[in-house]
Amino acid sequence: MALIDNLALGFDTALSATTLFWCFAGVTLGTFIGVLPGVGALATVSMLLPLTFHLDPTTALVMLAGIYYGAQYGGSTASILLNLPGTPSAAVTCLDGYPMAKQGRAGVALAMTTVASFFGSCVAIVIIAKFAAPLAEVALRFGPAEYFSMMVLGLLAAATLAQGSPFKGVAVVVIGLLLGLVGTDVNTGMQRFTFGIPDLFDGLNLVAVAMGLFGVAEVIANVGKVRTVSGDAGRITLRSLIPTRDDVRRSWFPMIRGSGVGAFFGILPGTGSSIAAFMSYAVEKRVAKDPSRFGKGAIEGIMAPESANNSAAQSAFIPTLTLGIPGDAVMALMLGALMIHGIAPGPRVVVEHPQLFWGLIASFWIGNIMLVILNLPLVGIWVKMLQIPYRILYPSILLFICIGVYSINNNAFDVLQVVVFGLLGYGMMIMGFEPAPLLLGYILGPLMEEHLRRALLLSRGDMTVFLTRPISAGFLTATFLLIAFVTWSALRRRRRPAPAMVPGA
Amino acid sequence: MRETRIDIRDLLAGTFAIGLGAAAVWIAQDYPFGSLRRMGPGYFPTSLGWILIGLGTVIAGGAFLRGGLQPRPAWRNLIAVLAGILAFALLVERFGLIAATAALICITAAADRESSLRGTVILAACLVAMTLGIFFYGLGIPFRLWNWPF
Repeated sequence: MALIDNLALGFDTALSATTLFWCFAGVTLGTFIGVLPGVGALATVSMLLPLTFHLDPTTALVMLAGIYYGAQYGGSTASILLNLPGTPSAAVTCLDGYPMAKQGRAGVALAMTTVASFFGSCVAIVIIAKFAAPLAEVALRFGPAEYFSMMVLGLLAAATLAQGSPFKGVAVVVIGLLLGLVGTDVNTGMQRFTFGIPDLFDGLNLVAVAMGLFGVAEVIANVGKVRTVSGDAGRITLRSLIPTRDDVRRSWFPMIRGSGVGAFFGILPGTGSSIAAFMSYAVEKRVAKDPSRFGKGAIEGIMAPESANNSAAQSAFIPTLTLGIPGDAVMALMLGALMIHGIAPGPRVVVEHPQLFWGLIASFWIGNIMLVILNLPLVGIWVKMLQIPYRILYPSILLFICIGVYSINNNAFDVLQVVVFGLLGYGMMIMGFEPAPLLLGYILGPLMEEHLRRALLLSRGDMTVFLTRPISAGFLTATFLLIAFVTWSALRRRRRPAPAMVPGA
Repeated sequence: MRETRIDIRDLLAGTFAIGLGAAAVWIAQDYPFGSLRRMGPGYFPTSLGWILIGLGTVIAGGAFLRGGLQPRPAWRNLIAVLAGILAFALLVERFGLIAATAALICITAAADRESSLRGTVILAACLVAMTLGIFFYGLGIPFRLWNWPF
């Protein structure tokens, strides 16, 4: 039983005192920033990236991953109590979570979303443990043509399935690809887009780009807007957490369906937990006997998206670790962390670093159990966190950003990059661009160029190589189907008025 | 938010994309282009630039077909936050971490209309103490704390 051996190795790594400590630190911090509206997992992971340079790669990834899935647990708290999503992926939870709170059922909603999150994570972890290694074996046979086509699929999926105009989404990805090219070209040693500035010869600083685009831009958009919970709504007793028998009965199938939808979008490279949550809500509404209950406090409407976003957050590790293609923007940062530690992402990670791979998976189990303990009995503490005024929070966030970026190379030029990307990020928000896919493009830019060059060198300039190799053709067919689907749904939406979107989504 | 006859956001977005794409194509002219078989360093960026110009044209063109909402940038937040970070970047090497931190907090506090002078000073003091405690003493990152260049 190879799986048992592997898991044993994993638990051996994950149960060491240091790993346990950093796992706990990660999930606690993740829940904290998930609860707070206006601070997302993306901003936090990029803020803490410099700190993890001092840890060994396994521990670093365990902690960063903990922040990510911990935030999925915490995200629903503000959605339910304030009608304001703590994380983008919890935006759908507002639709039925806030009405439940208004009906005096906030406790039930908070408890049940924790259960849904745990369930979704467990399903996804089983899928990772079972399928990641075989998938990596298939991926070992990929050549440059396959990689290029897969990246096209992933980037287009990230660009078009996000909210807003698909053209804008693709434009953001292309901007990201271009930014990724800044620096020295690996093939010829030529300086590209560096404007003669020596600090740019190694490319833009990943942490500065991420913090500017997400951390700083989020702060600019949120100052003066974020509300805090008033004393009365913040009182959650343990007794109020207990669901009725009817709640439990109604929750089973939405959780199972939500986990499935989440796992699908998690594995699909480029798409992450926000899309999964929206899709699973749409699925629930479609299969429901009485769709009119949705939006008025239907428990199905919180169970499905919460299990979906956790399931997606966990299964996004599958493409990231086995193919080296990030599942979403946070995963792009994880890949960045791996590269900084000198580990080349790709199918060889499973074989060459089994301790890292299986240790991470084992830490998911442990982290999720910690999260249930953190979120069920201690929910009152997290609700109290919503009383911290943003006026204190945002200068602290900006300070952490500045110090974090500065400490990487002790170079003030990196902090200047944060200013530029903060401006770019906020400008993109104003122009209605979704900035997250930019990071995917930025990470994949150099890789994509490299694989395109190699594929065409091997085929002697014959473009049909992408269609004659079966796996590559498969990816391109999927890309074509995706574009057809997006066009079809855009046309359908034009005929019928679009449903009102969640505020702040 | 005020409604507008054409979609100003999309018009801006399209123009921005066209501008970036054109800049990429123009700068990449200096890099050898190569051929499909042997791509030079200019091939990929030039292609991306043209794609971006094309997408920008579609986005900007679509803006004339429908109405939209007037975008309302939060200028005060934008300027205060970016000026604070800029101050940090300029001060940290010449004057040290403490001065840079204090400047960052005091300038960014201007973004929030409700912030008071007293509250800001207290917050800055607390955060300076916390920074020293966590980063300098706790994690042992060797920052230059204080420096007077004159």
